[in-house]
Amino acid sequence: MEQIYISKASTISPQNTFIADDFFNAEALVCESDKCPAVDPDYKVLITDAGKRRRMGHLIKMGVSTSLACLKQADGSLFMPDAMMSATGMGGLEDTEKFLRCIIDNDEQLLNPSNFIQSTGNTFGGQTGLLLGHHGYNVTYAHGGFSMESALIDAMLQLKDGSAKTALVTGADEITTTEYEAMRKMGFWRNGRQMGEGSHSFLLTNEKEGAVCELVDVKTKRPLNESAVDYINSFIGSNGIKAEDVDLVLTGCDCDYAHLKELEESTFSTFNYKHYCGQYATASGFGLWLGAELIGRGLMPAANGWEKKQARHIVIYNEYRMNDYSLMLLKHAL
Amino acid sequence: MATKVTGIGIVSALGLNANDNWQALQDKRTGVGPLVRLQTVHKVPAGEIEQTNEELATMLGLDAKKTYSRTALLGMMAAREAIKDANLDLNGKRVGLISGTSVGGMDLSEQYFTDVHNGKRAHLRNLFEHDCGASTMRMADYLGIKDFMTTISTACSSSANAIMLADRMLRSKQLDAVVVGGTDPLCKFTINGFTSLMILDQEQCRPFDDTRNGLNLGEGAGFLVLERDETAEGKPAYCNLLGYANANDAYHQTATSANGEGPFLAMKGALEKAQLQPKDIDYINAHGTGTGNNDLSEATAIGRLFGEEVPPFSSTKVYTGHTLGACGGIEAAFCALMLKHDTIIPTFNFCNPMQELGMKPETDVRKNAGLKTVMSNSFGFGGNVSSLIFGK
Amino acid sequence: MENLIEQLKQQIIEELNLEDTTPADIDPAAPLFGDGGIGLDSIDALEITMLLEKYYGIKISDPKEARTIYSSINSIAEYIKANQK
Repeated sequence: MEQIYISKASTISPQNTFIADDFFNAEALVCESDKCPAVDPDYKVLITDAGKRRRMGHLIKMGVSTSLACLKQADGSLFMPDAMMSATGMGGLEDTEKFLRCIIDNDEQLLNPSNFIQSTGNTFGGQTGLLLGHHGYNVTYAHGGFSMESALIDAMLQLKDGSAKTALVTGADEITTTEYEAMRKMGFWRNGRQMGEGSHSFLLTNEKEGAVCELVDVKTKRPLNESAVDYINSFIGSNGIKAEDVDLVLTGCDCDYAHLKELEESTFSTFNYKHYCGQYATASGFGLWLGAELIGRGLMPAANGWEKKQARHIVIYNEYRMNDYSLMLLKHAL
Repeated sequence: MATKVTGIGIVSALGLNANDNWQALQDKRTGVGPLVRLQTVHKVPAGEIEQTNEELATMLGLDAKKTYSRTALLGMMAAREAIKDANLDLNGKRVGLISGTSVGGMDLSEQYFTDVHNGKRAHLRNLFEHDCGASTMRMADYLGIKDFMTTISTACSSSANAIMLADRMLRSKQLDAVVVGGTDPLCKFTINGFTSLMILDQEQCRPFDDTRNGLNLGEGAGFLVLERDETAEGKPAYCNLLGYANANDAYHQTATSANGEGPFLAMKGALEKAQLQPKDIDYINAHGTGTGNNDLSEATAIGRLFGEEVPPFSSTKVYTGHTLGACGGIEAAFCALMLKHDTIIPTFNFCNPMQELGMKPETDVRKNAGLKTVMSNSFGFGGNVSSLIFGK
Repeated sequence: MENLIEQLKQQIIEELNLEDTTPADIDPAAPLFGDGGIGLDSIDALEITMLLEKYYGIKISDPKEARTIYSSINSIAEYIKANQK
């Protein structure tokens, strides 16, 4: 079976991650609020086509920007991947809301078609394809906390069966007031839980040369009817890896604190990433980016920041609203 | 290995099961008519299912007082029928659910925002069904599917793309059977959306006709059970999934290119995957929405690929309306039925060929059509185009 | 008429989100669509339809008719003048 590698990764998040060096060379940003907006790069510089940019909402700008960053080659030209898989839990929620309000408040008159067009789930994948003039496979997954994982699974299947040699996988979600308020009324933003947003892109290939790390496996589970440690052990076991070979478990614990406690008290070294990126459907993309960068840079979390230490395997454990539980396994590509 | 279609389930304006749908198709009876249930100011015909959410819930044996999106209810009904039809045992095998939808629980979101607007108590539970994945989760819970579930949202090609992932999951042996298709409800959101794009016909749609003036919307769900031949244990099957491809037109956010580049690449890719030649296709179930842009672009692409020997083609959207994320699933099930009964279902409302091309769709029911291999097209916003090939 | 033209430019810039464009950049006689003008597309045409209904109470339901009316700012202004109640 062919190995699959992450050859490039790009992230916009509530941290200063769009230029990854900035994130690893400085202290992490601390968001005091329960709503943590992304640190936006200058989209005008990144998406130079003003005619296309003017209709893009925040979600699309984020998604297109990390996608293009992953495809940008040393000479400035854009790499054309064979396939593109996108992921979003909520899609263009801001535009959906605008259009819905327009329907209801104006009694179905004076409708702005742009909001309708932008509301569909596949807009940033479609827009990236349009900007690239990409005629290949282009599919968007929208399944809560499995969106990012589903896009990765599809990409891995296609790289393994030879349908594609390279695949760009991007997951993105945006903060909207309605969702934030609805979750607030449910009492969700307590105990340090924060709403986040961001976009995470990964260029996957079969080429080991120059790779950041290897993406070994991705798994989803709902419901989780076993302990988090058992879930991880059976997952790594099915990949022929022992617990002692896993140097780090990145715990993306959403709200089920029992699992966080269980993992922290286990024999695994753990590091929780949700306080860096907040909570949203595709936040596992942040975990994947962090894991890949740590392996690629030969870093591990330390008491204050990062220390030089090469991890062999990193597991990313992600939870979404006590419902969707996913695992991803990374391996160094040395 | 081969991927077999061992069961189908269809819910549309033609009826709540595959038999009723097939009967209406053979009789050339349309489900498109004036809107009755859905309250909207727009006077457009649509393929509406007459049952309310409460009635659908009761038919499904659910507590009608609980909150279910129409998307989930329609999907449950079609998927349940497909599982029963395939006689699929969920316990013995690894079974997945892959669903395509464009609007998720939008009918409930509309209720929420209407309540807010009217100063009424708006129920948060109506908002939490909004995302596309929520409808799939409810379906998985209802059907008892746990091994794998996901949702694809690529507008009108959603369920066709779902079928592609299903095949890959089967071939890689991650799953033994997949319940796959799509579901979408009629709602104010889409009626207003397509109104804002000025592509809803005020009359019945006329696919491939020179006077065509837009599409009619519809609602429904179509699901298939796909199984690997070696695990299907000699079960009777409708047909095999032979090939498929998705391509990106990369031309415009909502319109398809004049030369039909995306549709051409999708159909060509599907043939290559199936290792077939254009001459092997006996019938094309076209996307054929009835908009000026789609039909010309699709017919142009068909002409480019098939040259002088264009196989019989038709659009079944004249019967169901355009069911958006569900149409790939519904039309795949129609193709399975056409293959099983060796019958081509025609389009109607066709009088004059398009000036630019002169291509004529099938207008009469053709029995003993000698169908061995058929193609089904589904095109979505964002230039997302898909083509599937089924065969005996 | 001059006022109407200036007002229309402003409304189009706002509704269509034409960043970095000022009313002075738009020649009222130049084509709005295609080459040689400000390069609007079919979605913009739909947005102009909405704008005319919103600000001027004018409803244009035939996309082909719209295409002729929207050939330039001048032609839109003339249409508004002739049809506004």
